[in-house]
Amino acid sequence: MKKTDLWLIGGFVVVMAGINGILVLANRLSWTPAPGGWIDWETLGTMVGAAITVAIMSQLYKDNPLFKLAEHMFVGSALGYGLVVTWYSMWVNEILPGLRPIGQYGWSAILRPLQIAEQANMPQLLGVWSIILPAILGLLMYSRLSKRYAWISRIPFAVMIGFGVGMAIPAEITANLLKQLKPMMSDPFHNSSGNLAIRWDEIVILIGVLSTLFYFFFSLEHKGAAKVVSRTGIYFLMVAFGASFGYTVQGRLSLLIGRINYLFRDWIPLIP
Amino acid sequence: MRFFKMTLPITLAFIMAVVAMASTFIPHHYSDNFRQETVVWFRVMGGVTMFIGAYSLLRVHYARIKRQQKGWGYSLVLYVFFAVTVLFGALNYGLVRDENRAIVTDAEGQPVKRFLGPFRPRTTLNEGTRWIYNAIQWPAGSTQYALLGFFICSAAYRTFRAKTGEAAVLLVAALIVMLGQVPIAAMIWSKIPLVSGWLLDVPNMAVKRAILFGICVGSVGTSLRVMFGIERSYMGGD
Amino acid sequence: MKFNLEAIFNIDRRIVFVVVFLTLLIPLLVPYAMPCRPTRDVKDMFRLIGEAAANNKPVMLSFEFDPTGAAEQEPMARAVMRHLFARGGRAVVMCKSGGQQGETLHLRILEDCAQEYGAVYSEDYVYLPFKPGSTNLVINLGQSLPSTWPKDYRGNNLSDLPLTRNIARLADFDYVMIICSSMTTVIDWLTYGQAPYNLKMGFGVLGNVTPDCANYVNSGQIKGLLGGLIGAAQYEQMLVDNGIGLSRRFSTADLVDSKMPVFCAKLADPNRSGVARHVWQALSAEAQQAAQQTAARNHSELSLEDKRTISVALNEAITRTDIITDRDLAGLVLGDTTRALLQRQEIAVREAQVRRRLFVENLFPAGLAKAQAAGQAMRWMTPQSIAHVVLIAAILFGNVCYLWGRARKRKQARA
Repeated sequence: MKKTDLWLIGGFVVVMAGINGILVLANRLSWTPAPGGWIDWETLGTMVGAAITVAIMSQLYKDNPLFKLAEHMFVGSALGYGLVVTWYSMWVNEILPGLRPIGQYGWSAILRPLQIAEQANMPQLLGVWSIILPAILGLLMYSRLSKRYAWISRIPFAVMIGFGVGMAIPAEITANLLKQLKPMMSDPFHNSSGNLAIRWDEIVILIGVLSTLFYFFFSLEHKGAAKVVSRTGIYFLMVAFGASFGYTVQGRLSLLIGRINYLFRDWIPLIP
Repeated sequence: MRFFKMTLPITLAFIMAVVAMASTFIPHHYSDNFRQETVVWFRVMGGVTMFIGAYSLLRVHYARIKRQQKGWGYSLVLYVFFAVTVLFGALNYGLVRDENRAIVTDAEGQPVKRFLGPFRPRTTLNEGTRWIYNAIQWPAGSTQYALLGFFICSAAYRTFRAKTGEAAVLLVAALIVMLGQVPIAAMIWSKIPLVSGWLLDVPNMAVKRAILFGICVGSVGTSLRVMFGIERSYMGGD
Repeated sequence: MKFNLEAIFNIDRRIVFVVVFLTLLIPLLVPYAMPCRPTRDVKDMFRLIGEAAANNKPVMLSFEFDPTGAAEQEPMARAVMRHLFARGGRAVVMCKSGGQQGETLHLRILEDCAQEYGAVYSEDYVYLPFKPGSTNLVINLGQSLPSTWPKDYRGNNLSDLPLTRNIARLADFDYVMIICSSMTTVIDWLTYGQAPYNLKMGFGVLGNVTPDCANYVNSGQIKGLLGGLIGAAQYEQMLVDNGIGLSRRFSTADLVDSKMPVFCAKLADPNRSGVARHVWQALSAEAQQAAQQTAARNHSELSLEDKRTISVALNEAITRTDIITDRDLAGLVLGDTTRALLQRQEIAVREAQVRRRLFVENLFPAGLAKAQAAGQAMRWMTPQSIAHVVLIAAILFGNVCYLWGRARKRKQARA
C-alpha cells in the first residue's frame, strides 16, 4: 500500500465517522447500546455496511484503494464464513458422527461395519466405511497441490465424473429431450376438444424450433431455401436475445434498487 | 506406471458410469442403495476437500505478503478478516435445554448459553458471525452485483443501435419486454403486458427449446465420450 | 454552432451513472406502490401453495440464494413463507449450493415470518443447513431425506421432529419450491428431482434466468414461476388481494423505531383508554418509564422485550371483545378494497378480527404497518418502472438520432 492509499482510506474513515456522528446527534440514526455497554452493535453494523457499500460503489468513478480494501475484506470474511458453514454442516453434522461408532464399538465398527451400522442406527449403509473410504478419496484430491503426484487425483475425479456421466445420460434424455418434445407433438390444427381450430402459437413454436435448430446446422451451406429457413431462425434468435436482455436489465436494476434502499433507508433515513 | 496414471482412472470412470446408468433402469433396492451410498460418498469427499480452495487463495496472498509485493497490505486485511470470521465461527455457544427440551432462561428471562466448541453442532448462530455477515458480507456481496445495473444502463444508452434488420428485431423485442414487465405498461396500454408475455411464451420459448435440444444432445455425446475414455480433459495434463 | 449529436452519446459514462442513480432514488422517496397484475405462472404457484396448506401437506422450500441476489429473492421468500404460515401450512426449508453464503439470511427470513404468525419451529417449519453438492443432493433427496440431512441446523435428528418424522423422501412433499440464482440449479432439480418422481415443482429465479425457464413452463415441468422482482411483486399483490395482510397478527417488526415516539405519546397520555390502556397496563414499570422517555426525547428507549410485550397486547386487543367492543367498531370507515375483501368467504369468517385490527391501526396510524401495506417488492416496482421508461426513452432517442444521422450521410454521399 502506498502512503497516498493510506491517506485516502484514513480520510474516508474520517468522513464516514463525521457523517455518522451527525446522523446520531440529529437522532436520524439511533444509538442505543445494550445495558452496561457503550456500543450499539446493530447501528455500528449499519454504519460499517454503508461504508463498505460506498467504498465498492466508488469503483464507478475509477479503481481506487477504497474499493480494493472493501473487496479484500469481503473475500476474507466470505472465505472464513464458507469454511465455518461447511465445517458445521459436513464435519460436525455428518463426518464426525459417522466416525463415532469407532470410539463406541472399537475394532468391531471397522471389521463388522454393516452390523454396527444397524445397531447404531446409522443413516450410512456401510457404517464407518461410508466415511473412511470417501475420506481417503478426498485426501487423494490434495495431491493436485503437488506437481509430481498430481496424477493421483485422477482416481477420485474419475469416480465422480463416471458417476455423474452415468446418471446424466438417461436423466438428460428424459427431462431435456423427451419431455420437451412431447408438447410439440400435439396437433396444431385441432383444439383439445377435437374441433378444427388453428392453434397459431403451436405453429409459430414449431417453425421457431425447427428454424433455430437449422441455423446451427453448419454441415449444409445456407443458400436458397436453406437460407430462408436459416434467416427465419436468426430472427427468432434475435427475439429471444431481446427478451433475455430485457429481463437482465430488470434483474440488475432490482439489485441496484436494493442497495440504494439500504443506503437511504437503513443508513440515512430519507426513504420513508 | 501408465496403468495407474491413465488406464485405472479411465476404467474406473467407465465402471462407475455403467453401474450408475444400470441403477437408473434396474428397479431393485440395490440400485437405490448404490445411488444413496454414492452421493453420501461424494458429499463426504466434498467436505474433506473443502480446504483446497481456501488453501489456494491463502497461499497466493501469503506469497504476496511475504515478498511485500504491490498491494500486500490488502492481502494482510484479507487474512485478518478471514481469521476473525473463523474465530467467531469456532466460538460455538449453544442454548441450554432442560429435560423437557425447553430453553433454560436466567433471572432476567434471557436464554442461558454455554460454550460447546467447534466440534459440537451449532444450535444458534454466534453473534459475532451474524454481525460480520450483516455488516460486511451482505453489503459487499450485493453491491458487487448491483454495480452491473449501472454498466448495463450505460452500455444500452451508448451502444444499443439498430444497425441491421436483425439488430432492429432485437431492439424492438427488448423494448417491448422491458416495458411489459413493469406495472406502468398496463397504465400506458393494457395490451403491452400481453404482447410481452406472448414474446416470452412463444418465440423466446421456441428458441430456448431448440438450444436445449442442442445442449442435451451435445451433453449426451460428451458423456458417452467421457464414459469410453475418448474425452480425457477432466484428468488434467499428463 | 453545429449541433453535435455524437457528443450526447459520448458523454462520460459517470454522468450516465449519476442519472441512473437519481432515476432510482427519486421515486423511492415517494412511498407509492404500483398495483401489479399477477401472471398465470404466479397464480399457479399461489394456488398450489394454498392447496398444500389447505390439505395439511408439507411443502419443501429450497433457499439457494445469498446476498448477491437477495434484493430480488428475499421478497419472494418472505411472501411465500407468509402465505404458508398465514394459511397454517408447514414447510421444510433446505439450503444447498448457491446458498452457502445465505444461511444467516435464510434464518432471519424464517424467524421474522414465524414470529409474525406464531409459527413454531419443528412443528410448522424446519431448517436444514447448508450442504455442499447440487446434483448429488437432489438425487439423494429423491431416495431419502433423513440420509441426506440426518440433523437440522439445531442438531436435532429429523426423526425426532414432529414435522419431519414421517417424511421419507422428496416425493412425500406436496409441492417443492426452489428459489435459486442459476439455470444450472433449475436444470438439476428438473432432471433429477421432477422428472423421476413427477413432482409439482415451482421456481423463484432471478430476472435474467426467467426467459430460459419458459420452455419448462410450457412443457408442464415447472408449475409456478416467480421471475425476478416483478414476480415477487405479483405474489405480494396476490397476498394483498387475498387478505393475507389483513388476517396477520402484529409482530415486533411492525413497531418501527422512527414512529415509536408518536406511538408512545398516546400510551403515555394520562387520558388513555381502551386499547392504549390495555397496552399500558401490560408494560412493566421500567417499560412505562421508557415509553414516557421515548415520547419526550423523540427517540426509542424501549427494549426488544418491551416491544414484544406491546405486540402481544395489540394481538390480544384484536381478538378479545372486552378490549375493543363491537360498539367501538360501529363508526369504522371501510375502504372499497376492505369491503370487497370482507365479502370473500375465507375472510368473512374473521370479519370481527379484521375490523378490530383496522380499529387499532386507525388508533395508532403512525406506529404500525398498515394491514394492506404493499410488500417491499411492490414498493420497488415504482422506481423500477420509472427507470425502465427512462432507459427505453434514451435508447429510442439514441436510435432515432443514429438513423437520422445515417440517412443524412447517405443523402450527402449520393449528392
